[in-house]
Amino acid sequence: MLSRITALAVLAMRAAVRSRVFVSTMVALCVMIVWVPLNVRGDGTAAGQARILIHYTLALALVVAGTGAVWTSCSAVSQEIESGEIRLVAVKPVRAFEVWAGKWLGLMALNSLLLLLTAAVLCVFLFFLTRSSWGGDGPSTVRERVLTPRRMYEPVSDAVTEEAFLDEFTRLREEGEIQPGVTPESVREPIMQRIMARRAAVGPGESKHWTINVPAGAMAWAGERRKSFIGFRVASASWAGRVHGEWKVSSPAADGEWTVPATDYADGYHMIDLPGSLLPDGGAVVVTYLNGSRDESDAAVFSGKPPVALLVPSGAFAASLARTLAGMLSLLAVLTALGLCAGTIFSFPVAAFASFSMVLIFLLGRYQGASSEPLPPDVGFMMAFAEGVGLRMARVVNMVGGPVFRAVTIAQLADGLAVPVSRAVLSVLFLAGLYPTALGAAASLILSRRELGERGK
Amino acid sequence: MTRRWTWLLPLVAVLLFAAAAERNEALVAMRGRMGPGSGDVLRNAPPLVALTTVAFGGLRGLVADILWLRASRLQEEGEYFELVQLADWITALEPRCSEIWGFHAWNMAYNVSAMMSDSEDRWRWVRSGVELLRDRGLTYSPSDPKMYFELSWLFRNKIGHPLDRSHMFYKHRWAEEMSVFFPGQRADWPAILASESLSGRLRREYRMDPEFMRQMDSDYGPFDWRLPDSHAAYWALRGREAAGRRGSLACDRLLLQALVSSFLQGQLVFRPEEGVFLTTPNMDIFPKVVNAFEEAAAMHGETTLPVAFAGFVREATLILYTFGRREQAQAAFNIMRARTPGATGVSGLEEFVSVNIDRALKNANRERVVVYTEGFFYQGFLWLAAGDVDKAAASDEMARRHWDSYVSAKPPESLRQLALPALDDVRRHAYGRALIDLPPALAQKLRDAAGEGGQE
Repeated sequence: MLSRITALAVLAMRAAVRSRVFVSTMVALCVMIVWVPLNVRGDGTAAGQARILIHYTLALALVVAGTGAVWTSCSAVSQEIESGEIRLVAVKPVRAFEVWAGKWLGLMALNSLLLLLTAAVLCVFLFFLTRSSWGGDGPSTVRERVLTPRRMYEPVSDAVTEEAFLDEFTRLREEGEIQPGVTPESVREPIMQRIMARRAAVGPGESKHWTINVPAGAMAWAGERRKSFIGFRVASASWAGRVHGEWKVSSPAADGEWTVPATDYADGYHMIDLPGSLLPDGGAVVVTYLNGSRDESDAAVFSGKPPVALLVPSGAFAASLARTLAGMLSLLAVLTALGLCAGTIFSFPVAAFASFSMVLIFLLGRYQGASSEPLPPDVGFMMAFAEGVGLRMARVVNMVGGPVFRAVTIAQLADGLAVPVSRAVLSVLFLAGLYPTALGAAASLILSRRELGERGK
Repeated sequence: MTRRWTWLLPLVAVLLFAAAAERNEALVAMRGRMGPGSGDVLRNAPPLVALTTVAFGGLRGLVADILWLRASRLQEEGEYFELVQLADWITALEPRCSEIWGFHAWNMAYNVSAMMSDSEDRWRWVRSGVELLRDRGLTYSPSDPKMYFELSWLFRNKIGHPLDRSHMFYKHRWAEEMSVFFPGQRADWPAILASESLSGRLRREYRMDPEFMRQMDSDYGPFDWRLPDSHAAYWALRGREAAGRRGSLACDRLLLQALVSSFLQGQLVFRPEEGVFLTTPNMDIFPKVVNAFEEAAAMHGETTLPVAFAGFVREATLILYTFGRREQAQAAFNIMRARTPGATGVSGLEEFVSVNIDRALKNANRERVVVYTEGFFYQGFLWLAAGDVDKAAASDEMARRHWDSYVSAKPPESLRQLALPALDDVRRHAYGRALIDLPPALAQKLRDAAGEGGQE
């Protein structure tokens, strides 16, 4: 069976390479991955340039390769059926699933080639960027902040307990802010938000601490050259925007305490370096922020999700890039399977239209499915019914399509975050395995029952 | 349609194209009449911009919206590295819409820069805003006065005003850059115009026309081109020129504001190695500022300009008087009295000064407090040269009291942002100014009385 599938895959590759669609995709991709790095403009820093380079090159490659994959796969079966070429295979002792799998594998080999080409060009540009004469410590910042992937460890959950919610509700009712007769459930959301907002703020002269659990083995890649960071997003509570205080990092498992002044942070995301020896390889790390006095600082609001995170070096950039490529390839695997499936059922134009429509629906479903804004109570029955049905459909679409797009970790890679092995493995198993198998099974069933003898049917 | 008539289809297509082409000229002209700047063909645009504006057709607004949404989301998330590129694309899709250029330049210069802790990072974003308008926006819409207004505003407000906590850093960096062309307070135009490298760099890198600058120096200056207000005036004037006969009230207002500011603080004492950045009044431009106000009032016939003019002349009278320029102060007072008879409510210049100086000192802002303090020191040095030690001491005391009352009323954080110059630098400059203004014999007397550097 394997030899038959391999032979069919080679045939599919040959057919695809000869097609104008693949050639156009290849040309478009080559133009994009060379033109983008030479023309894209970052924020003026070498690190910004590296991030935008990674992000745009890979994202555009994915768009071009994805479009090409859908188009090529739609034509791979449908045009063979239309031209009658499929009869040359149908009369041979091969199963419908083998035909389908052979074509899918052939096209996936080409997709892999396109992604490898993209990665090679990206690496060349990054190589030159890290050796360019970009002002100041640009190249070293690129290596340190972007090309050293870091694993993010978040603080222990600070979720609002039911007890805290009820305490707040009681307090507000006693103070007269909540009218008698109002039930806790009807004001749950604003009270929860209020509690969370209060927890995020650190007033002048106050302090707040977060506990972050670092698993054993997490510090394997950390060292003097590969520093760990504390990343946090802060907003000041006044227009003047002064946040001035002190950070303390300590660990019961490691000796000593490390203190660094937090000098005049403006609103935004910040990172502070941590000495490599400070963090334990396994155990809790306590991060404390002591806000300055009222004269020197405003209230600091840690508004990020998570509010504070520990960023520890984890693996090499090449490994994270490979995992990102695996995620991208998994997405292309689904798109190729979708195109092949549609091409099995419909003629080429209809298959292409149906496939692109499905992709669009999945893309939009991500936004609609994520929304849970309730309708006002005074809308009519029909409106409420339509909204309910629409929302459920969107959630189903999101449930099916969500994992497909979540496999793409380009933004993570560009942000200097490590792409975990588990995520890449899951993407490959789930997207490159489960989805295409399901689509392949459906397509094979249709192909085996479809009359292939007559042209145009 | 039968095969017999199919040949008609290309003919119909050709006819329709011809009809569309015939109407195109009229439509372009109509667009030009109804929206200034939008009717003319997109000139100077690189092929990519020309292609996108044509290729996307009516859809380009939609594409711009999608990119704009992405830019807003990234900004909310604190991801700024992509904003320059997105702004480039959005503006390239709508190259003639000055509001879009203005918004993105303003967003980078004000919103994004404010998110940076480091002054160097903030300056990079302010520059990005300036460059977006100057290097790209003006290339596509060179005849749109709004574009010049936005650029002028960035120089006047973002770099020139003390609103941003890093405003002194911006001023230093700009002065350092400009010092290559203008090492002193006055531009050496023959040398600059003769040097292809200097005038070429001004044209290429800063998009400024040295000939226009020279003319501007002669008509409204002389300016100290190391200061942002001079550049604000330049771009406002270019905007007025771009507006042609219909004029641009917004650009004129900005020009007048920049000229008034140049009068108040239009000369720079810049010694970066010592950290000295002291702006002092450029009182020589007083008659030219008066002319500029009169020109603008005559062109626009607008009611707020005379009010602004009255305020300027009132203030100029006090400042000129404080600096001992009695004749010019008298001239300013006469203009004020001629324009608003009875408004002064006093019989003469001396009475006007004695009645108004306290209020002026009380309400002085950062730039004015430096001006008045220097003026009092300057008066003191004149009295010292004249041999009246008591009056000299009184003026010196007045300067210090005024300075102290301003400084003591400000909280430490506010003072840090205002970045006032050192009082000794202000005094030293007043001394230098007095030495230049006095006749040689009196200057020598001053040297003898005050010692080198004016430190008795």
